[in-house]
Amino acid sequence: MRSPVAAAFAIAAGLIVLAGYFIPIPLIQVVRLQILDWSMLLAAVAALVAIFNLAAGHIRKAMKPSSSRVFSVVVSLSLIITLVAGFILGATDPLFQRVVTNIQIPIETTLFGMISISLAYAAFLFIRQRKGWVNSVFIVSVVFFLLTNSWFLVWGQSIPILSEIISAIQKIPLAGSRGVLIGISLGSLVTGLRILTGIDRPYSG
Amino acid sequence: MIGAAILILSTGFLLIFIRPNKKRASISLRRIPAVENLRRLLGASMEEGTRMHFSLGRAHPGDPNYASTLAGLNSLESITRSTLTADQTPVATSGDGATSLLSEDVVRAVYRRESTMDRVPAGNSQLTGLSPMAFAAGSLPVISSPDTGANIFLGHFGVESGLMVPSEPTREKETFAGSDSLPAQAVFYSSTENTLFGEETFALPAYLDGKRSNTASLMVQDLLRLMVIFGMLIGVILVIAGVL
Repeated sequence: MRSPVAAAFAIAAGLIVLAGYFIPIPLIQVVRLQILDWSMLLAAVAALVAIFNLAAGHIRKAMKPSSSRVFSVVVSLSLIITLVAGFILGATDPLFQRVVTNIQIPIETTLFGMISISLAYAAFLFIRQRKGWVNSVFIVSVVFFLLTNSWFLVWGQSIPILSEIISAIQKIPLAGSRGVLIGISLGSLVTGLRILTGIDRPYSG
Repeated sequence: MIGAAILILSTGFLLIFIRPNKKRASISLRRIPAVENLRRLLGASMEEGTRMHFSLGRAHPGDPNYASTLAGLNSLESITRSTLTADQTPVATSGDGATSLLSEDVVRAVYRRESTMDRVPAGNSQLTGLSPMAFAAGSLPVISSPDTGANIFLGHFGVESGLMVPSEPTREKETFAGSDSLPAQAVFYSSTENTLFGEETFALPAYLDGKRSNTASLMVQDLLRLMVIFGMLIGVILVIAGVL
């Protein structure tokens, strides 16, 4: 049985924050800001708990003899060194910032590079393996709109009627994405309402 | 005030549709092949004794995109409940601390209700990274593990999902994905056949768990969609007539 107290608190907090957006009463605004401050604080504590959980998991893995323990050793050591250095030097220390940034940025840039290769490979597999008219239409559309939105039709921009037709064609992907976004917005709205009314409770309480 | 009116109207519709009404015809849901494949995927994973990996994205609770993560948590609960007899508990990963705790709580709550809490191992939910790339890279060991029989991506992702979705042809069938983000949807579609688009991600709980509250949400969404279409048509007519 779920606790009604947790649900009551969650619903009340949600309603007050929501009311703060629409009702300009100072008291509601003050309470709303206070609740938002608490939520930020709780989110930070949750992140800390999750990081400790992550560290504990990797330390456990590093203790066990396995082929992948080396990764857990590296993660655990990096975490401890960064944590200790951060405490001693302070998070805003220029040297600390430089070292962390100069490690993080090259790694993340490399991962971005890997994504481009991974996506190119996925596109290759898509063309090679997927059958059916929907997928064929998708591939033809991708090629068509890539061409219409590139330099390919620049020459047509100076011809009066043709330029309008090209402009209309170029807007089709935008219209499609707006259609998808409207569906997502409505889904988000109803999901929010379900939480707000206590129909959905993503917590055991 | 229009925003408040829409909210009140939507809440009203939701509360009306959620009430039992014998006169109302039963709702038949549109067939989504990806959801049918998900059921097969879950069955196969249970038969093989492998675990299900559930990735909930990297949105945080203050993010406007968090609704897709909430829909993912709802689906995680339904899937955990329907696979209680599986050998292994599902493992959840995310790129946010609060989501990580919530996913742990959701899985534990399902097992607690069945008095089988001892089956949930420690570290069942993991925060794999706080930046998009760290989240993707940290999730890779779980995604590519031979113990993982099914990878389910439901939540807010960006282009980093290109690194997360297994690209091997054999594993493509073991992947199911849905997101509110357009770049992630494009990446998922090119990588797996089992992709949800647009509002389908939010409709998934209704397909997994035929509760009245879930189908009521779909009815509200459909009604709101009709209102949007009607509003757009009126707008077009007013523009043509020169009023706007």
